[in-house]
Amino acid sequence: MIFAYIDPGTGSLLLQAILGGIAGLAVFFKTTGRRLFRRNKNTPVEAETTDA
Amino acid sequence: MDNPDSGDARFDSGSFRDPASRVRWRGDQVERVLTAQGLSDWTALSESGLLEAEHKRLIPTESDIDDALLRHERIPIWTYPYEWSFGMLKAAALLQLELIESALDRGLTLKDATPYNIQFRGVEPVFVDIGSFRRYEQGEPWLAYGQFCRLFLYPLMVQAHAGIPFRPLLRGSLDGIDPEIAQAMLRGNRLKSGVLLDVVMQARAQRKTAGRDVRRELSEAGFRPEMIKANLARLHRIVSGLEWAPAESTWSGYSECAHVGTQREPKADFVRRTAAKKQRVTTWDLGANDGYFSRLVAPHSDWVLAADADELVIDRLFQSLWESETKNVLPIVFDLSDPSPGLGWRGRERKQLDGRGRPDLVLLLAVVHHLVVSGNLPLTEVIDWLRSLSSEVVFEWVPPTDPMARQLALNKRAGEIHVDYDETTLRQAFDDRFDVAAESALDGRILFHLVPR
Repeated sequence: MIFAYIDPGTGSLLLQAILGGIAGLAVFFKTTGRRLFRRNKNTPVEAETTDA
Repeated sequence: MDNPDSGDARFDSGSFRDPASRVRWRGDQVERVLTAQGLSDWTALSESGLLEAEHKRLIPTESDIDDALLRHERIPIWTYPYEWSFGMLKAAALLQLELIESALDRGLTLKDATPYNIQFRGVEPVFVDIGSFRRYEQGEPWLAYGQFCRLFLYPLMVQAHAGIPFRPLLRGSLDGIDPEIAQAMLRGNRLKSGVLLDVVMQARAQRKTAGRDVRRELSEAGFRPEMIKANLARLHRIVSGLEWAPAESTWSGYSECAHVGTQREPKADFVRRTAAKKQRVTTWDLGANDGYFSRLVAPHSDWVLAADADELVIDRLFQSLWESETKNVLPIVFDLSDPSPGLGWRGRERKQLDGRGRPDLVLLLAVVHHLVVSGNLPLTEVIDWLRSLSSEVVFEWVPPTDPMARQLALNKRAGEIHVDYDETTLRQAFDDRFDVAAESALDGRILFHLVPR
């Protein structure tokens, strides 16, 4: 079980893969985090239907 | 007060967020009460070797496993990040980063990353939330990274890059600075190290990824602790590179002023004699400026709090104490006329200064005219507050005719200063509250050693 009593913030968690060096980048692009770089800024991730 | 002298244990009003481990007071003793989860975390910590490796930077702790209790050494003077200077928050941030790395090396992590888990013993930062350590779970990211940014990184960045002091921001929000707000304050600084990734990207990520189970996603995608370490090393570089060093402030040249030089020695004599009468536990030097008198009384007090409203003065004092032999003086940025309030849940999570422990001796030297003239406080009110601290006082009386008091009053018209600012009122106010143990006239000013009645 991962236990957290503070709200870690989803965004800050995903971002850590990018911040984790080259290996981290590979991890990042396997997650929904890659959508951060999509151009249609106004589409929230939740609204998208195609999941990896 | 949360540290009553009675034997009854009482939970500290600032310790409730972590259900696995809560701090309570039994008399003067600090105890941490552990649940089964908390006990398991403690076992992991005590078996990891971290306590031994980092013993200088962790609060000394004894365990009582049968009662699921930890006993911590008491921190002599409790302070909060909105009372620290830039250099102090930076030192705390580096300690936090280094501890997480040290924990990861031993299969542990920390639940949170907040400066409220760090206290200063003199100028030395010490990590006090032993309940924050727990086992690292494979594949999990550093859950407290966002909190580290809000409470350490952004405050340091906005002050270093944009010249915006972090103290009012941290006092305004115990959760620190939101990424979107940090981004707004750092506009024009995007090319500075870390701003694009830790601020701008984080603000964007916060907007676009709400409501996903990203911990599972990351774990499944192969997230590893080495990635946290790469991030920690990067943050360590960024924080180490942040500097705040303005050339001067209102009070930074105070010790070079002519009147300070001529009055210091005779004043020092009186202060030294009073302080040397007995060894005290805690002394507060209010309006400490460059810490001259704090250092003077330091041999006669276990701990000295050197408080001044001017951050640059306090930051320089912190740096100079860091390099000096005097290890028991703790500098804080503190404005007597606008003191730290009770904050957080029920206004009790973070306490006012006098609710965290009382001094045995207070120095109030060349301060009263600032309170009465600049702060427009009635003199009797000031003496009444002094009495409320129930401690001995070395008080310097600065009469309204003093050149420095006159200078403060330059832009005030008659009737704009309370009429009770005179020596007669002062002595009357003392009469009801203090015994004057000694007094000494000094160029129109008077030094008093006051003992509460």
